[in-house]
Amino acid sequence: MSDAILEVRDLRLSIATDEGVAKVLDNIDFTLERGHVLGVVGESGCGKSTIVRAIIGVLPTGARIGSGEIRFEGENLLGLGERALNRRIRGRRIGFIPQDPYLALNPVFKVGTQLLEILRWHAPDAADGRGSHRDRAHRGRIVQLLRRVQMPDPEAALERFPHQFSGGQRQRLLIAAALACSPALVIADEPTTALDVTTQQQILDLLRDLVDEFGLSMLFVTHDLGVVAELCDDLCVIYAGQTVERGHTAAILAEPHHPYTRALLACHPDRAGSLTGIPGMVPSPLHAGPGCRFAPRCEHARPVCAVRRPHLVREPSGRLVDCVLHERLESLAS
Amino acid sequence: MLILQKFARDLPALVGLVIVVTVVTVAIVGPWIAPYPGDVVAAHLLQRLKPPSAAFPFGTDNLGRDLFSRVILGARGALEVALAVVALAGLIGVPLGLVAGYTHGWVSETIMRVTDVFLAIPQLVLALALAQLMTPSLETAMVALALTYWPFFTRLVFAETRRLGTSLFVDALRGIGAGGGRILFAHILPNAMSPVIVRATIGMGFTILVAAVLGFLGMGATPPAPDWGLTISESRNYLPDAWWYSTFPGLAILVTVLGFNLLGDGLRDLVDPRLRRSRR
Repeated sequence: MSDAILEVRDLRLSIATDEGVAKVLDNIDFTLERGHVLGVVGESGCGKSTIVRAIIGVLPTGARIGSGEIRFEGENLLGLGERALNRRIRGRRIGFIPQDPYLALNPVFKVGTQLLEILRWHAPDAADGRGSHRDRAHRGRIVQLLRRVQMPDPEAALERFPHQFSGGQRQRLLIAAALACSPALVIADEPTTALDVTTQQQILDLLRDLVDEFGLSMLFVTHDLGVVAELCDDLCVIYAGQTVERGHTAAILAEPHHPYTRALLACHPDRAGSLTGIPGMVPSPLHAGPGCRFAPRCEHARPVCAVRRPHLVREPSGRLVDCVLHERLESLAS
Repeated sequence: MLILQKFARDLPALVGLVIVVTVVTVAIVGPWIAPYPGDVVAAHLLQRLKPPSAAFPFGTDNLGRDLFSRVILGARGALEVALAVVALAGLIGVPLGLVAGYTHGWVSETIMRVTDVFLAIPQLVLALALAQLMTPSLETAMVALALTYWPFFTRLVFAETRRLGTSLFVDALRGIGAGGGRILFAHILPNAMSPVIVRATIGMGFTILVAAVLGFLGMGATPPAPDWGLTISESRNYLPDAWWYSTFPGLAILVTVLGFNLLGDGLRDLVDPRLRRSRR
């Protein structure tokens, strides 16, 4: 029954900086089932956006993928060249909703020009027409999409420039852009972070509806557990570039097993009695030791935590936890 | 349109625009408005070196040709040279700047270091040297000027591309499958165009000036062309008695260059208000 559309296996990525090599991603591991929404959650600077960039192959300069696989529909994306990615994957099979809608559209072109351009690259011979006929078909599709993402007056919207839209409307435009070529997978990189709370809610509702309606799979990156609870079927918690816990959202939120997940949940304003937070800081990826990266901040830390990485333990429920404490539980059980 | 209102309030820029429009008009309709259009090649030795009068507003030169007509007829050549030089320099400089700004590593480094070398040598000296290497003619002067002006475009476009290349919309474009060429030429270039246009406008004036210098030194236009710089060069032997001979072509150069510079500065103020000069 397990039908994975996207599998990330043991992904390691480092970035060469002036101060040395930063191990930004270290053993990232998750699976997105077809038709599901997977939330990738972590603090700022834990490597969430880098994961997204690794998947779509848009890496910052100096970044190097050390090991691992990114399997999309069974094909390892890391083995594909730029041309193949552009022609078959990006935009076509994988749609991308970037983080900040204020900056993600080219300011000098009309919105319609930018949206139509995507269809023109990826579906050059769609609608069995040529020239103006094809353009009209494309235009019709865009208008239909804009209507679907609840853009008021879609025809007029095509003739306007990005700065004439509000943040929420721009995010709708970007969602329409991501969906333009009917992709199988949509990757959303904190799509609601730059928006205010009411707009955020509308966008989340819209995304949920679109997932059900188009049978999409979605990778949803966020730092907000409240958003995850609302939108995501599965959850993958990242800390400092490492997967620490993953499984069904409801199960993890009800009973987090990893100390970090527990601490993160305890910080949520709805749950925490006082605004405490987790003591300490996310460690710099420049000086990563051999052990568990959360150990310095973990209240359950043992001496062994500083020395070696724990093994990812699969619990009977299917949940994966990356903690020494759970290794012990497992060995006790067996 | 707000931008037009802003421009209309900028008096020096308006003056520049009026001058540029006038010069361009004169250049286009010159042969029809010049009183003696035949004076490009004609010679009337009986009227040589006549001071300004009603018949010859700017006087006549050593071959008795009407200087007023020759100044008018010279506008077209000056503008043609400036346009060709700036266009050629842009065609070389802009793509190099785009590539250097978007890539990292040895391609980018090579382009920019070569650019630095060109920028390190004074433009006039380099243009003179290049013009001297080839046989002196208007064409070689144009090539020499273009070969010395492209680094300015490269620097400018390089900086803009570096800035835009890291912006989120470029990442978003890559994320939806746009190739490097498409991003560079269809998306980054239009964003970088406004400073390029400003630079080109100022470059027009500058090129007219340097082209006149080359003409003056005998490395540009050749007689009997009504080139402004060449005319001033020919007038040297008749100074100071025939003061009009060098004054009016000189004024033509002055006014034209001033016009382009004022217009270019005004455009720059519109494009980038942060760089506003302390003019008022």
